Parts: sequence; C-alpha cells; structure tokens
Amino acid sequence: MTKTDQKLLLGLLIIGLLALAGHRFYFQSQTQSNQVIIKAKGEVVQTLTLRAGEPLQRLTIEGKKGQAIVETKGLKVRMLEAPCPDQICVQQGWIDSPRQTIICVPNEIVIYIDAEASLDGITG
Amino acid sequence: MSKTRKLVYFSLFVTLATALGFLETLLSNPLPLPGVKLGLANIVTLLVLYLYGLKEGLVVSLFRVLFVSLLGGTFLAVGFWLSFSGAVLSTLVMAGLIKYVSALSIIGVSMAGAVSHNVGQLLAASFLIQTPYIFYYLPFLLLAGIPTGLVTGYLARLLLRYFQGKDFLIINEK
Amino acid sequence: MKKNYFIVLIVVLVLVGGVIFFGQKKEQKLTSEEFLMDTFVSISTYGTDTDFLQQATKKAFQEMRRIAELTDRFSLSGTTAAKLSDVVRINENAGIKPVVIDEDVFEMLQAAQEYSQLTEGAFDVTIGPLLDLWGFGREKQKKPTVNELQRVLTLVDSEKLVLDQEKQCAFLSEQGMSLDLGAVAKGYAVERAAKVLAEEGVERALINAGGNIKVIGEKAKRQPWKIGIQDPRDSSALIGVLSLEDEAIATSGDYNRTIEIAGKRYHHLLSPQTGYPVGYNMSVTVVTHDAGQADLLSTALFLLEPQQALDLVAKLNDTEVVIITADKKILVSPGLQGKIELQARKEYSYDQN
Repeated sequence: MTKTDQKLLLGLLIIGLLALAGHRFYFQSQTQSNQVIIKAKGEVVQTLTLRAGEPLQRLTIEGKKGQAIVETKGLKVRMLEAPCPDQICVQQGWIDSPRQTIICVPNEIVIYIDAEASLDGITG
Repeated sequence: MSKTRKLVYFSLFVTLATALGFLETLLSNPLPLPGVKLGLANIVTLLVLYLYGLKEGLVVSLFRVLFVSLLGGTFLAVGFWLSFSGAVLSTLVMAGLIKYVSALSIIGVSMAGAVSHNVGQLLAASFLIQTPYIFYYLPFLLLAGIPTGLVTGYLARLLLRYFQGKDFLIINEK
Repeated sequence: MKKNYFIVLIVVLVLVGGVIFFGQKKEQKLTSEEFLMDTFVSISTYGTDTDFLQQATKKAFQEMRRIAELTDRFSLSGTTAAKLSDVVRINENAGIKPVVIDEDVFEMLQAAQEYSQLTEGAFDVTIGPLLDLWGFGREKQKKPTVNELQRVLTLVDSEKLVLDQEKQCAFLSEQGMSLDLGAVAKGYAVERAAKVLAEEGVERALINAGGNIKVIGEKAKRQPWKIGIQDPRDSSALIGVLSLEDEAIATSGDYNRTIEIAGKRYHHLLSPQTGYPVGYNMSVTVVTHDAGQADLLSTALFLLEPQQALDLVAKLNDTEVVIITADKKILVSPGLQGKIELQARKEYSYDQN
C-alpha cells in the first residue's frame, strides 16, 4: 500500500464512521405506535399501525418472485420468509424504529416504518 | 495486438468475470445488507483497466452484469439496474483514479471502486425503490466497501504481477 | 516505523467504530402505567440507565398519587381517603369554616379563580353541586328540572370561594357549595410528575394522563415528539399531528365523560350560567408549557364561543389552541399554523384566519 492508499483508507473510514454515528441518532428511537408501510413491486400493499404489546401477526405479501411472509409483534416487524435466493431481508431481522427499512431486491418488497405517522401519544 | 487476439482475450476476461460474478450470487452474503458482496468480479475489471483502459474496462464489466443477470434470471429487474449502476460508477471512478492519481496503487483503486460500487447501487435504489429512507443503508455500505475493496485489491495485485511477467499482453501499468 | 503508526491508527479507528456501533449503550425506553384519577397514566422515560429511570418514574408516580389523593372529591365521608383529600375537607366545611390546605391545592384553586375571571364566569371550579345534580360521577343520572337548576346554580360561584394566601386557607362561604377539580387536577399532577422527573435528572420523557400530555426535552436529537389530536367523532381518526418539545398538551371534548338520559347524550362540560352542557365546540386542544395550565385552559376555552376563545388565547403568553367547532370547522391559533399537520376527514373544514 502506498501512502496515498493509506490516506484514502483513512478518509473512507472516517466518512463511514461519521455516517454511522449520524445513523445511530437518526434511525434509533422509540415510539408509542409505528406506522409500517409495505410495498411490493413499487405499490403500497399494506399499511399497519403497530402498538406496543400487540400479539404476533403474520401477513402474506405477493412479491415479484413469490409469496413472502411478514411478521409483526408489538412495535416490531420483520421478514419471516422470502422466496429470494440471498435471504438478506430475512437475515436482517426485526426493525422497530421510524425510518428503518427492510428491502428485498429480488422479490421487490420494501418494508419501512414511516416517521411522520408514528405517534408518541394521542390527546383527546 | 491483432484483432482476433484481442477478441479472444476479451472473451476470456468477460467469461472469467461472469463466472466469478455468478459464483458470488450463489454464495450466501457475508453481511445481511443488500448489495454487499466481496466483489470478486471486480478483480477482472481492475485487471482490464490496468492492462487496457477505460473503454475496455467498461465493456467487460457491463457484459459481466448482463451475463450474470441472464444466468440468474434477473435481467432488467430492479436488481439488474442496481448492479448496472454500481458497475458503471465503480469502473468510471477506478479508471479516473488510475489515470489522474498515480500515487494510488491498485489496492487503493480497488477500495475506491468497491465503495463507489456500493454507493452507485444505493443511488440507483433511491430512484428505483420508493422508500423515503433508503439511506438507512449508507453507512454500512460505505464501511463494507473498505475491507472487500482491500481483499479484491490484494488479489488483483497478485494477478497483475503474474500477467506483467508475460509478454503476450500489453501492459500499461506505471 | 511509519507503517506501524498507520496500522495503530487504523486499529484505533476500527475500535472507535466498534464502540459507536456495539459498545454504545443502546438507549432504553421505560414505560410504566398506573390507574390514577379515573384514567390510565403512563410515564415513558428514555435513557441508558434503566435502574435510574425506574427510580425516577417511581417518584413521579408517588407525586401524582399524592395530588390525586388531595383532590379526590368522591371519597366517602369519615374514611381515611376523605381525611387525606383537601377537596373533601373544603366541601364538608362549606359554610362552616375555612380549612388549611396543601400548597399545591392552594395553587390550583388560585389558578382556577383567575380563569373564572378571565372567562367571565364561564369556567368555574365550584361546579360540584351542578355535576352532582346531573349525576356525573355518580351512580344515578337524571335530567334536572328548571326549579332544581335554579336552586343549584346559585351555589356555583367562584367568587364565594375565599382563599387566604397567608394562612393557606380555603373556604366555600355558602352551605351546599362544593369544589370539583376535575378540570385542573390531572394536568396539575402531570406537571408535578414532570417536575419530579426533571429534578431527578431525566432528560427525555413523556407523561400521558388520559390525553393530558407533557413532554420533557426532545424525543431524540432534533426529533420532536409527535402527538396526535383525536377526531371528536371517530376515535380511530385524527384531526392532525403536532410536534412538541418541552411542552404540554391537553384536550377537552364533548365526547368524553358523557351520560345518557332517556336516549340522549350529555357531556360533563356544563355552563355555570344555564346549567346545561355547552355546545359551541366539539373539542378544544391547548398547547402550552405547563400541563396544569393546558388542562385548565382546555376546559375553560371549551366553555367559550370559538371567537371568544381565540381572543383570550391571543392575550396569553406561549399558549396555542386548536378548536373543532360544533359546525365542524377547525380553528388553529396563529402560533400553531404551519406547525400542525392536519389530516382531518373531509367533513371538517379548515378555517385559515
């Protein structure tokens, strides 16, 4: 490695770490209710309002490659089963904070928690 | 170099890149993140860039993306466009660095290529996949590019040294 | 030498990254619920040390229970609960003698009296006899007759509540009068709990006592708390969403605490002048810094005509309001315009004034 290589490595590492630090602040928070949006092939197919303590719930979503199973429990949501070869979406596990996202590229399914609609409380 | 010879070498490089690229789609991913791969096929792109130049590098990497997608049945699907964008951006970045930043070795170039490959995919994803929070993945993709770029860079350097010893190839490395 | 330097630097950076990602204590959320003052009260605190959050929450609930005991109007005469309740003692001694009360209750009564004047008598904490006549909070409900109303309305008069600052005494000067702190106590208790949490050093928290909400700090860096305002006619819909930070919010609505008499619904926000439920508005939501103030004002403003309410709000500092009028207009005070994301159903109209 040349000196310039090393500088590049350092630069990339620093940028990456800064992005990571920002990420921790931006994508980790807690809510009273989570608005989960599920898109398949570019269309919204499900919106769910999750509240703390809600029981386990499973949904079948039709993706490009076939049926995927999405599981929710309390405020969390995950891809339980997917027909894609890489299984990245399944390995990613639960998401529970606004803005967190699960993307299954081969099956063209996107699950994310909408930050605007997730409420901390309701007055009335 | 005769046209025929060039065509043969090219075909070999494209085949090699396709084989490596396809092999990787069969292996399980090292990290549960879309788009993160070791990038073995990038070794071939790097070699071609060093041995020939930008145009040849682009051709090899684009043919590789095309063939891998045809083999995997993802041609023109979202995943194809992600790979396509990643390949174009990383090849352009690497070629630019080879040409203008001579202080960088093949390892540095490989690292920059890996990171820009991941970023390129994410940029394409931000257009193709409608989710407001696509940059959720950004820090992981940035960081993942560093080690994968290092590994493929070292491997590419080994191969480049081997090829440099052979006189049947035109070598441009400084 | 140089190379070693570089490797050390890389190792340090990777370690820093590791600490950021794995080592950093994940922020925890602690939520506790208790049934207090006829509603579920939840306190959510955020921080890295859950033991500490638990302790602080416990103290906050203790304080809320204390306020609840002091202001409970329905404890049976002679029980320990009745002896603990300042409100019961004041009511039992109406027309007899002043009683020394807790400074928190004194503060609540002072605020209540102030708003009786500001609303020209529309808001009144001596509303007890009227609520009892209708049967709110009691087992039997009935529609009062004109004669009954006339008799009882003479007993509803904040001016006959005598407060003595020096002796910290309160006295209802006429027999049969009684206080009801239903419009004040919940918010006040929330505010006290918030003070306790802040004193304990909690930096981010949300207290919710049946829609009387106080938030401490931001929810996360540059991320305010999102509070929805309920649709008065559809409990699963929202009128809009507000972003709050170190603020309190409370709503009074005609859909809460209703009674049914002969097939007709009546709500508990009664006019001290007519003795009947006030029908200008469906709901009034107040945003201000003090939860006690928010609670009290949401009731006081509900009892006024919409324009009167807006005029009063304009005179008050850092106080904003969202009014849903009886004819389904949404009125938003100037300070909240642009800060509220309205998402009301089509039947409501947004009046930009």
